[in-house]
Amino acid sequence: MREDLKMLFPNWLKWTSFIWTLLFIVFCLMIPLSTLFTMAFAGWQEGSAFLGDPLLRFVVQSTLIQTLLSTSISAAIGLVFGVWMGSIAARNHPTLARLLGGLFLSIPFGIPSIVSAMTWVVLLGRSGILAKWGWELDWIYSLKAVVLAHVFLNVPLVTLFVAQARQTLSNESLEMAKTLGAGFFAIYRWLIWPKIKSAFLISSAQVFSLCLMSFSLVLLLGGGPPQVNLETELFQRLKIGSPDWSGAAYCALLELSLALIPWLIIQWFDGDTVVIPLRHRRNEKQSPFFQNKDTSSKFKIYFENYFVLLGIPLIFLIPYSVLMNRQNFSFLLNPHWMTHLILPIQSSLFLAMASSSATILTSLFVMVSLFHFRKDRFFNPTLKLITHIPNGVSILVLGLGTWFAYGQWFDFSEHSWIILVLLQMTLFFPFSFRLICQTAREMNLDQLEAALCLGASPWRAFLQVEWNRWKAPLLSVFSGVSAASLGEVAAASLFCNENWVPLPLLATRWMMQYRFEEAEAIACLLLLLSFGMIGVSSLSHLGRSS
Amino acid sequence: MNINPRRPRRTRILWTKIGSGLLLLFGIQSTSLAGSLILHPKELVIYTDDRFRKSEGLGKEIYSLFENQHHCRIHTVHWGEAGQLFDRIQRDSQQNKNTAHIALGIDQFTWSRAKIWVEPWGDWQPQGYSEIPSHLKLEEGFLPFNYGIYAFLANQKLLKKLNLKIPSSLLDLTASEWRRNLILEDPRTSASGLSFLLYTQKVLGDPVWKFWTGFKNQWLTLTPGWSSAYRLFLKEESPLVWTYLSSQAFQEEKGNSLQLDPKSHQAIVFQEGHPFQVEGVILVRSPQMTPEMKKLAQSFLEFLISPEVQKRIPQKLWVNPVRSDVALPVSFQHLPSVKKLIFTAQDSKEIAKILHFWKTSVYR
Repeated sequence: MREDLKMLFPNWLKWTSFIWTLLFIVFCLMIPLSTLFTMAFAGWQEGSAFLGDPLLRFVVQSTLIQTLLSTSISAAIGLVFGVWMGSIAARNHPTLARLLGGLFLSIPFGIPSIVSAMTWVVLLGRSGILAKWGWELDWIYSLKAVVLAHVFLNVPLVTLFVAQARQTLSNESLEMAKTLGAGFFAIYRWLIWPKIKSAFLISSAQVFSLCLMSFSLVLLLGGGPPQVNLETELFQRLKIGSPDWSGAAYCALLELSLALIPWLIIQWFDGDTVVIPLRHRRNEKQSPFFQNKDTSSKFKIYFENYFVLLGIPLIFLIPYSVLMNRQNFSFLLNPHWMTHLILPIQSSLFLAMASSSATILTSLFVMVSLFHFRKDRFFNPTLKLITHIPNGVSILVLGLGTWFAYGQWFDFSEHSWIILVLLQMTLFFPFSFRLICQTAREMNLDQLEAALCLGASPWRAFLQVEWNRWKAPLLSVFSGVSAASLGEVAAASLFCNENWVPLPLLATRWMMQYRFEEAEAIACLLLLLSFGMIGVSSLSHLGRSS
Repeated sequence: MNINPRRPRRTRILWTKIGSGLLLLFGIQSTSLAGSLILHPKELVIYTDDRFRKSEGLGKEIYSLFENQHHCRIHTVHWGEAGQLFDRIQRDSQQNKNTAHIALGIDQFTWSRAKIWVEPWGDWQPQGYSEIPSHLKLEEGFLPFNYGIYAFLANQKLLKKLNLKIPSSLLDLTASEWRRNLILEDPRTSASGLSFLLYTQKVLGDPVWKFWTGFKNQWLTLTPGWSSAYRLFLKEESPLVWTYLSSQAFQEEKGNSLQLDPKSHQAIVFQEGHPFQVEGVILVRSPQMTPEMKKLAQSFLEFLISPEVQKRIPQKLWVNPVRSDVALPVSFQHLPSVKKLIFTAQDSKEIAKILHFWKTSVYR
């Protein structure tokens, strides 16, 4: 960015951002994590014995098998679909099918894992839908079920990232390469791969972290030992009678170290591309010669639009439709039943909105701080490195650290919503930060500079030149984080109280009271709310794009 | 530059809308939170788990009854796990803060850890304590409130479909036809799962770890808690589930509303005997406990074992009341009789050791 653009950020904003960023790093990340690790390292003698424990070795091995299998399958399928969809999207005009396809690919991010687990039981269970159709796979409660659920949740993420990166490659370059005699592999190796490389690597690293920190899916679909992972092991060490705090702290430390490995590798080799585009603007203009040069048959156009661009994303949503059944809707349409849900819905929505607002605000402030200290040799790389940490921290790890760090000063039973908002904000920060940074990179600097030179105030210049472009990404982050927050159950179960019962926790409580059908109806409601959150934002974006 | 004079106004309106929405939401939330913080001069604080919430179930009925009788207010603080509950009491004590007067939901597995926080009864003995059978009493300071006998519940329709016979012994379950036909709870996360592990250890003795090495192929799934196990059982995922003997009574009374045959579920009695869980309540030791509040807390303990509360337990919690002089509903009278109750390990260190051996047997 140019020096004169410093005018955009007045001093008060600069210092507010700096203080906010510092508070976020210190109170939401450093203190909880260092407390946790101090506990782990306090008894290092015990720790070295713990690390040599064959049981822990088994847990690490099992974690890596599940994670690597899920990640490699998701990444491979996502890469193929992403390149395919991206190449079609780059050739054709935006159509409703293509825009809806993009919307469908972003929905799985907001599907609560507890809803996903319930879905796979309904589908793959012994009395499930597939068994009733005579297709008895017997995959449920095994590694296969865990991997399948992970793949269905994560393929859309890789596909979306890769497809959007692939779209930035113009047909002109491809046609030129073909004219010069390049074959399929040469084109892929020299033209396509460099364009999609960072999107693919970063989305795969994200999938690796998500699978490594997977909790509900492993717990509910794995069927118990031998299907365990570090997250479930950590959870189990805190349960029943006398919790093993130091053992849980060691598991957290191991999990964090493993989850950060891919991020550090990417940062090492490809530091500047870590901030990845979610919605690329076309940066290569097509010449009039190649524009609209679509000589495909009508059948091919229909096939590409409806089967590929719309059909593939739909495949990953079909399983969740099993929760949209008559029984669940009869509960949801019953006003008397719904009156019991007013407070939980209100709590969930409040939590979702507060978390997403806090996440956006924090991302914006961290971004402004990064801009101001971009020349600082210590602060800039340190801040960049620190922003990776939330990628490897699970809500249980962070929750445990928060519990230890602030438990003696803070009454979690009375102010649980504050702690839940802070935890979720830290957890969802990486997604929000990446999207916001990318939007900031594409700022229209010439127009901003012109507006400032003509005497516009920074605020007015930003509103007139940039605001239209920022609305869609901000809305995407807001809805995405809100949807993910709606279904978050681990932190909610750690820090909720009598007056603060979000929907996922209510579902768990009702299950304990033999109210299983009603719990399933809540899962259906959560799914609808998540769809709604992402749908509304994407459709508003879709409207503008159309 | 495209400067549209209408844009800022629209933006302002948009922000005003968003702002008022958020304010409304925050406002409603703060009001509901503020409501909970108003303190009553005579407020009895109870730390408990989710089943004894004030807003529903048994809690809804009995707390208001006690509040009316004693002109006081009950404030319940809920904790998911006993571990969190003890951690909270410990922190209260370290910070010299007001802690709970009562902790409700301690069982024999968590009792050894709870002991240090218990206010001794001294000369006082709860009224009605003599009506509780001696095998349910652990030590002074622990007042039993309800108990449940653990057993396998069978879905007879499914057994018939799978051509399986009702087992009569624990070892029958190791036969190959039971492979992936049982639903158990995870002993690392659930009290019922832990009771099954401790039961096998008590009944089988030293060969128990060999039993578990082979037995890990028999379960369909180890669920994190009782509720998810029972849900899967009702979905007919498996013909047997490890639950309470009284679940048969629940099925008999509520089966129709769940669209299940009320007579198709049968609790199975094993010749080896059955483990059980006694759930109790303790007075929490605190320097801030005034004689007046101590008396109120003692009255609450007596209230919990009064016939008025005890008669509500079977059809609210679906377990047994501890008083032997309370009449049981018909569905409870239909339960098969258990000839032998198994007393399993209760010490937390011993339990931790058993769990470690169990992991060594099944983590492979």
